[in-house]
Amino acid sequence: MSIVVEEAPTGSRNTALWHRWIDLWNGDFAVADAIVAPKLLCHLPTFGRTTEPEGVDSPAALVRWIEDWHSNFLELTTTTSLGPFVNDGYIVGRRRFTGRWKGGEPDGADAPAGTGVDFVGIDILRIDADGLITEYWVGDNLIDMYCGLGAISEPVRARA
Amino acid sequence: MTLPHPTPEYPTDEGTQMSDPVVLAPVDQAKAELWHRWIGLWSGDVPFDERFAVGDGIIAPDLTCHLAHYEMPESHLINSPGAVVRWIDVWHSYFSESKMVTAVGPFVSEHYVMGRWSFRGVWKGGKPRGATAPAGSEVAIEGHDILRLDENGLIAEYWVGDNLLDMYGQLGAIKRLVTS
Repeated sequence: MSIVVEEAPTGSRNTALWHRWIDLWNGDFAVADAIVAPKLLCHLPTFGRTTEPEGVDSPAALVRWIEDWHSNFLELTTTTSLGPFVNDGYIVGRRRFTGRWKGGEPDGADAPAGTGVDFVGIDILRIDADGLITEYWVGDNLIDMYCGLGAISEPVRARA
Repeated sequence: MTLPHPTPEYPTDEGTQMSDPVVLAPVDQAKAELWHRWIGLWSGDVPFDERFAVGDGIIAPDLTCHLAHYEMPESHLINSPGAVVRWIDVWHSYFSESKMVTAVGPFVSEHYVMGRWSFRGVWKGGKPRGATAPAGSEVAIEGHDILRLDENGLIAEYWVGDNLLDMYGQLGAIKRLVTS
């Protein structure tokens, strides 16, 4: 199996959909019902991003989850760093989270509140026949956030 | 490296229906094949004495990587096929058994190939340094790779987004708030 995609074609419905997806991550929660299918299937990491991974199954649940994520940060911004790659059925893109950590999760972190956070991940989205996001796979370098906040035992520190 | 690989819990062939089936052109077939050779290298499916040749066959001499800043090599050091193979050797040194398979994709475009992989391994030590789990613990992580191909069809640039943190959690290397 292999799937042909285009590189960020302008005017494509799914290129626009990707950018609205990023808007959603930037706090434009009103867009959720317009871009996410009523029945959403998420494939999330077990550690680091979730409070109720099995429960992110609808636009409203997704918004609650993203709000919960935002609650850990100040000035959280999501930007596209590569892509999107699209066809009628899929979108793939890389995005970057930057912000400042407020505290909360990860609860074992020893970094001070206000510490900067900056990491990337790659999203794969499956789009249904109505043009809505119906399946979401996450690949996220959360290891960078956890190490940066001192939440990993004996990390190998990043070097400049 | 013969770890039996469980069926992924997420749908692949049956669940990721295309609204419009795509017939691959030969050039796209070549990109898909390159993806599978890349995953095979990470899986450890390549015969040990052939791994550098396989690396040379799929990776450009001048490679640019975009890796995580922690717990991975410095990106600028992974700049050649040999460097990738040696990095993969280090990764495999943490496991007594390992297997990586394609979970979603691959997706191919004019200049790129990408997809989701699923890794299963039996951990034997090494990283994570702060692990509290015993040797022999099973590890399972997923991740996404995006590969840019040069004009020769070789991997010239590599972006990773992977759930490596899950391995650290599974092996007890994430600190937890102690409340009792």
